[in-house]
Amino acid sequence: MSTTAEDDAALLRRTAAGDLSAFDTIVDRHEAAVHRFVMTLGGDDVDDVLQETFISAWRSAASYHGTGTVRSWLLSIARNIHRHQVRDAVRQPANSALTIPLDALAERAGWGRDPAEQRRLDTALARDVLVRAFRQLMAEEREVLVLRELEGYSGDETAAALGLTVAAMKSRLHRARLHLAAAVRQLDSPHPESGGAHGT
Amino acid sequence: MARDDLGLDTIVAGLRCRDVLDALSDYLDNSLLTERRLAVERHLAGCDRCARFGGDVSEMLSAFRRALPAPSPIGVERSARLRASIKHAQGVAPT
Repeated sequence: MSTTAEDDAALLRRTAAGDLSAFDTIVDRHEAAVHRFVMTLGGDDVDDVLQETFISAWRSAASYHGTGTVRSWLLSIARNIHRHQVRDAVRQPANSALTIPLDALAERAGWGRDPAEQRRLDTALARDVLVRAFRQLMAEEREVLVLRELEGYSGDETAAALGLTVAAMKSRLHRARLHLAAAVRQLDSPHPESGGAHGT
Repeated sequence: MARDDLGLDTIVAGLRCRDVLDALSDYLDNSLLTERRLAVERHLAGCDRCARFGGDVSEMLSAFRRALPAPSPIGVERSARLRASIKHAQGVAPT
């Protein structure tokens, strides 16, 4: 465990014992990371999620047992609050995307494609296509891609933040990458099919 | 049930394409054990489809890391609102 992680854990113990200044330091250290995570998850209530996350963390500081980093613990709280808010606001469709067989997913992502198939990831179009493809993914897929690809968190920390085992996190990451590749391929096609990357 | 009209059960250098597909993310993350990594690399050296697909996914992920805009920083005002809400919850007047 890193020194920072030990310090964070000590700060939370002091928080649980009533030391408000200790929690101020936790906020100083982690508000930027939690904010980035919440922003990437999307939604209109960034302030609400951010505030509820830290208030919840302050109230439950005694429940932190040091099995992951404090940062991953905060992200897991943010994720749960975000999901509750989204669930309350919009009933989510059934998530068939997470159960598509890997073969079919790989095919959509371009496994076995014709070598002559045009790919334009190196063009100015790529940025827009990649951003749109990312936004098509399910929340579970966006979360794992943000933590691993963009934030560069370790496998252990990502798994802890998502409440998954490392093996389950890896499986989700693999599928998320293939889904992203499938969505990019579909959007980047000169003749995109209807239905999106998650269509059947 | 696994289908094989894609040719995923093709064996090259002792590994099926399906096994390489399963291991692709771990391979790209350099988290395979050495023996497994070498087996995947032997397969990739002899299998154009897997090599092309692995290269495509790797290239796409690199482009993704460059393309997705970094979220805007928290900013002074949002940070102040956060701290005020925490102090309110704690029953402490904001400083």
